[in-house]
Amino acid sequence: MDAMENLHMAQQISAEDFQMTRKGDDLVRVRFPGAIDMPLLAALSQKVLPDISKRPPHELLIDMAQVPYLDDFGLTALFELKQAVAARRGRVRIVNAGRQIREVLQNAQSRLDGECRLDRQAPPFNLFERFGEIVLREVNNLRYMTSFVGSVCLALGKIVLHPRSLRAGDTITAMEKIGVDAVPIVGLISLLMGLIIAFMSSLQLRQFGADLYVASLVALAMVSELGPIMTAIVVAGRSGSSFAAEIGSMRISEEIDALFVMGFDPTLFLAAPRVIAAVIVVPLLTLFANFFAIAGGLIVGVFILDLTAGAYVSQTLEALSLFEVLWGMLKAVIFALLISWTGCLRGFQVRGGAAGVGAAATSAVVTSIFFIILFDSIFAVIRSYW
Amino acid sequence: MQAKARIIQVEKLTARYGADTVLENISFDVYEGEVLVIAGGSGSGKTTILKHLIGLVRPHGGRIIIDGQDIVAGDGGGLQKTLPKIGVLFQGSALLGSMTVAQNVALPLRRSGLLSDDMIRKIVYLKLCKFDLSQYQDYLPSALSGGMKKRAGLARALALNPRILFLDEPSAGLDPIRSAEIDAIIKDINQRLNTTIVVVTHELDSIFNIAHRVIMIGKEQKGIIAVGTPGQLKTDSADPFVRQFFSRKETV
Repeated sequence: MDAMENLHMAQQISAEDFQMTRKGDDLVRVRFPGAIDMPLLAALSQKVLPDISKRPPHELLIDMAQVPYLDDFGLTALFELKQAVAARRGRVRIVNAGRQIREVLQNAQSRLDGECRLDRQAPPFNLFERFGEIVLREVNNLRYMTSFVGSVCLALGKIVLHPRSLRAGDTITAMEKIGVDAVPIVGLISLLMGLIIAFMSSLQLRQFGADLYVASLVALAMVSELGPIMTAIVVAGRSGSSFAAEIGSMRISEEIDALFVMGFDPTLFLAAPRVIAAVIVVPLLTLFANFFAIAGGLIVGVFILDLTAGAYVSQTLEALSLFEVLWGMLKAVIFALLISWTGCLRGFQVRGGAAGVGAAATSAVVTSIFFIILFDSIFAVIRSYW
Repeated sequence: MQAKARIIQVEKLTARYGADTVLENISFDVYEGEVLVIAGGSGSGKTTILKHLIGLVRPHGGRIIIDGQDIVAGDGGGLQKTLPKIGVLFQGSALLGSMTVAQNVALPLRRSGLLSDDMIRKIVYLKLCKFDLSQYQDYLPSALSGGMKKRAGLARALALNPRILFLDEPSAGLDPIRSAEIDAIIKDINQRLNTTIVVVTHELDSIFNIAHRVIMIGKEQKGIIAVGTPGQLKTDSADPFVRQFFSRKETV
């Protein structure tokens, strides 16, 4: 029977079919007209229960004479009727029940007593309890994160002392995925960023006849700030989530347990190649981003602002110093560490199957972006006091 | 088979997940060279025991001594010494998806750091031949059937010819023919290499096929409810649930 048929059948059943009788607020009698299936349950819910709930009686009599058997729908119907009179602590009596129904009721008695509820209702919201739960959860999270920092540092230290303990093949594969595969998207985004910055800034600088300084603005903004940030955000989205998903999938299929039992350090085996690959590749990717952004600015400068290419490039080089470039690269290194560490951490924390893997991938991206912005703020403060 | 010395001793093991106590004060021994099956209903704690024995989970209380090493006490030094002596087949085989069958089997051999690449390649090939997988050695796990994954997982677990082999539901997901193949492999390993084997399963056919002894875990009792040979538990156990389990009779 499909949903439309069920709906049609429920609509055919009227409140009168339940032969409900009422003696003021003392007694209500309800008689089921037949087997309690889904349409009858729906009709009960729509046409009888609201009336009973509005004026719950002291006693509810349920006549089961016409009911041949009781299954899940029937138990639910009885439970709903019991709930309807609960407001006045009304009593429920079931009469004329056949043998099968009596046996089922006996087994399900504890549920209908109201001590054990069939449906789990969420406990009432308590702000202090909720706040406490969040604090405890985050403290636990912080402990795990700190422990993972140590674990990664130990693994990197071991690689420094014993370089052959690094899985070189995995590291190179990771470098290709993080870096090489990201060049097109990073290049495109940076080109567009350069175009936008150049165009928007030119609207203001034109008023002062300072068109040429568009080149300086694009270069400084991208190289020291936006280049590292945008590159890191793209890497977080592409690679951070990928690390979390790969390691998380290994977690739920017991591959990490298998590595542990074989005597491998999962952090050294899985996290270290990814961290090292990210630290090598992300600064290079940032350099690419800066180059494409300056190229974007050049397009605006030449085709909209009527600057010559030579003048634009010359102004760019004059504005930029080696310090700015190195400062941007240093940020890129720190961001790479944050992204790879967070992605691997979320992967190792996965619980609960495919849904957990998805949640970990999302969390890896969000947490990485948060850390990127946080650390960029710290860099800004450091620089301002330098 | 003549039982020899105790190779695993579990003393008053208590296991908890959060506030729930799953196992309480269980004690049992595993003798060298025997095939011990840990059986029980779903959720009784069989896999929990296994995870404790292979060091994945630290117990809330009790001791576990494997081949003379306490794997629970201290900072894990005992466990590190024990891991090279054991092999584990996980329920889903747990083959590393990014590596070929040969690379998976080679992992424990590479870990030992004692063999050249060429030697490892030869040993892996010979091991895969024993499990009828030599022609699949360059396949990724995703290209294998369930039975082949189990055999590959077994080959990896046996890469170092461990003294003790742990198997978590080795027949799970397999048809009866493949399941019987795995049972035959287990018996062959035990008889040929005298490997001590601990198997977690509730497959009755396998239990009767391979077990020298069975430990039955009860969910409500949170502990051992019966110990004996499969035949003894089927006919002589004082617990009706145990007799019912081994006789595959259903309550009405």
